Amino acid sequence: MNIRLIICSLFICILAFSCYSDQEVLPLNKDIIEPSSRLVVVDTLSINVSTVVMDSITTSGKELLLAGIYNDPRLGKIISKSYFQVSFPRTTPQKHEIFDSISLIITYNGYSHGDTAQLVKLTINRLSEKLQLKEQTSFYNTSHLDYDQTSLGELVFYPRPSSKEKIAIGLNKEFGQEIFDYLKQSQDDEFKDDEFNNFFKGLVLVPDEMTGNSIIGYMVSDTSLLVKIYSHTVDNELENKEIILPLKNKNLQFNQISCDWSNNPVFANHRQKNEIPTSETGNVSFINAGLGMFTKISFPSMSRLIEFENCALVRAVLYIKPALGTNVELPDDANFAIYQTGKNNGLNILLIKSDGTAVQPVLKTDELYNEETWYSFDITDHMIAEFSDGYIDPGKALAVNFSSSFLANSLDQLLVGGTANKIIEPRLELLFLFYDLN
Amino acid sequence: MISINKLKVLFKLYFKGIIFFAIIILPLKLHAQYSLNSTYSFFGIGDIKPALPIRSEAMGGASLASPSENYINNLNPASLSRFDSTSFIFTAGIEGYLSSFQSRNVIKSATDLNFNHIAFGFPVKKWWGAALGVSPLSRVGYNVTLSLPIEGTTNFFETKFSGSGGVTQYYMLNSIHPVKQLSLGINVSYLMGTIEHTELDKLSVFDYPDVTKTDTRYFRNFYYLFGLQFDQKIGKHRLSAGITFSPHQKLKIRHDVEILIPSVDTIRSEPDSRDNFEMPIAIGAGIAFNINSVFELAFDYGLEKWSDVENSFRRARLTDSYHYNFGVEFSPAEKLTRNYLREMKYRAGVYYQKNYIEMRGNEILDRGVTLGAGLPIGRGRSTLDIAIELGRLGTLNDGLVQETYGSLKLGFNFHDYWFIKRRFD
Repeated sequence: MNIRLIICSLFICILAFSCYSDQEVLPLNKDIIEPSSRLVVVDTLSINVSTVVMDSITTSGKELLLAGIYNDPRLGKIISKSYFQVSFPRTTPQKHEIFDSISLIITYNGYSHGDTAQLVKLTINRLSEKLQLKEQTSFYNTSHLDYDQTSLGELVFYPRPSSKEKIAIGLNKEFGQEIFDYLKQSQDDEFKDDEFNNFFKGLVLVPDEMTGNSIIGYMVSDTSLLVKIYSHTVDNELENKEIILPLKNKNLQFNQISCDWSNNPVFANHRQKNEIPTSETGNVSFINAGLGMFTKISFPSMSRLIEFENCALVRAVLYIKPALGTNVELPDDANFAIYQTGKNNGLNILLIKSDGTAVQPVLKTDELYNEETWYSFDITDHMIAEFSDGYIDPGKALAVNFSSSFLANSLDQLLVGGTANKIIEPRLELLFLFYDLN
Repeated sequence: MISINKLKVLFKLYFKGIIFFAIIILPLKLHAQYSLNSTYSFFGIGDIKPALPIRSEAMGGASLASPSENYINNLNPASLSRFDSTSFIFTAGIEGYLSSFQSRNVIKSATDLNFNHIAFGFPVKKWWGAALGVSPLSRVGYNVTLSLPIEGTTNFFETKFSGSGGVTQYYMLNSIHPVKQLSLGINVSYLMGTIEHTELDKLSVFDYPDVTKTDTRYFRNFYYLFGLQFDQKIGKHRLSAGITFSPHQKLKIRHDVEILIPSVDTIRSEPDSRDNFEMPIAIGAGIAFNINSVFELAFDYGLEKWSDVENSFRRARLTDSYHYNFGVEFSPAEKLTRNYLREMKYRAGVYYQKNYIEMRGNEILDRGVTLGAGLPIGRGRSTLDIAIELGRLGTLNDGLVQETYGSLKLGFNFHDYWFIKRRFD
């Protein structure tokens, strides 16, 4: 009798739970279904590329000595001198102590720029001007202090930066004796340190302009950069002693980096606010960490894109390419940053990603043809913000530079291709989604 | 100890509960859940394939001239007045599909198990029959990818299109027979459904999250269909004819589009943008010839004038759709016998249907064969109906998609008497 009921119940149960569906995805080979949206890449915006030489960059407090000369084939002779100061020692000579010798100890930090196979000559000179900040808050690549033209010592060597060895440079004995005597007399002086620096203002490493073609980096720390005085006593038996004059203030150590611009005189009387187009610099723009040069990229016809309707910017990527054959070693992509700049050519706003970290490029190298070697900056967030208010300020531009922590830390350089050569010119790739809300 | 009688009362209560649940609750749940799998359901309101009683499904869909005797023939509302004036019917059906899709030389498959119909039929007067029910009218279900060019580059990206949903028909059939041979009927239904189309642009090749466009359309409106049936006994035989007609009608569409571009923006259409989907004039005609209550032959023809309506689809052209359905039913036993196989009914049919869209100049045809059986249950007129269908939709021409499908449909007709209490049990 109740078979009807049972079947009926079964049916209801199946019905209640029977919304099951499973379907594999079928790839269509013709567009029989029309998509309602289109993806369009716009990468033909006209671009202006130029070089900006910053009026100055801070080089003090970088904890790095950069000393040497380098004949840059594109720019001219780059000279880096390094200034520092040592402080009053912890121990001073005893009454009967006798001076032997004095040395400056420097230590390779591993960095070099140029040809280290060439002999290098450094001289150590005594500052005649006190190493101190006056009105400014730091020293710059353009800062200069007076020093005695007669050197206290010199080092002629084949640099071995990767060894990270210490190098002791013997200094003038008379100078050593003078320091030694000063220390002997000033044992109980309360203001001994300050007084001492009035007496011994500091040292500068000066490269010989005629020798060598490399700029070498040396470490800045209490144990790697110091002046050592060797002495002895002969009370009962001979006893050798050392007096260490450590580095005084890391924040006062700085590098003076300059270029004679002989190979590119257009930079000779540069001002930061006047960018120099690549047409005047051999279709190359410069990014140089030591000289404070960055590449400015502007898009004169960008405002045309505002007129697009029913579209959304999905992605924006800026590609910059190294000028072919000019960069044997490309700087690490993590060293770069991108900024918004304007008519003043300042590094106005650092571009950041949605997570708050700075936008960094990705380096892709094309070892076969070099044509697809580029640094790509994902500047989507920035461009979306630019487009969002419906107005593009024609004065705004982008600046590609070494990031602040790499600036003035090296002489690293990237030559960016200009617009005269289609293969190496920068490219802004904008991916737009055109949609249809119907 | 619970007596047998009490148990029976409990069963009756239980059964009434089930019916209540089925009529009230299920349609709410079932609404917009179908996904018959067909690439062609991308267009309009999807594949229009009204759910038929399983008996008709087994007979190639031929149903227009058949009376509702112990099932509910929702295809022609005029059939309800043939209803036994002392009984009622509760009927429900499910269907399972297994399909394969071919586009050039790629073949993919799909399965689908779904609700087919629920209906409740009852006599109002001796000359007036009525039924309430719910069944899908159209269904959308597709899942395809397309490789599209990124304009301005030589690159391609993949877009995945998928769709689901459909339009459900909540119907009330009323039928009268003013004279013995003639029945008139009307189907007043409320069509309601949600269809969701999703377009997923896969931009991961650019290290970018995918862009998703979701297009949701809510369809609703009343829909009317008129029917007429004629029935004449010729000796031991019977000749029936049926005609249905529905005028040009409109479905209201509320339309919401949302484009989600991760970490950028969500773009939305104007809220509540409205539109219409036009349903064309549709006519259907069928004849059925019953020979000695042993054989029934049925033939249907239908035409829908889609070329006259204004709907516009991308990449597809509207074209008049038509269908031919032919079916036969064999009932070996005229009366109750002890032989169950003889008590069963055997059915078979064929159908040939032209879809209402035409693509790249190709007609989209749906054709197939059906087989089925009616299994009597218990001593009454309740049956379990089974239909098997094997069909093919579409073409491989011009990069189109051909679908080969098989389906199994089960329907249960619970038939009982309103007023007569059985004396012997």
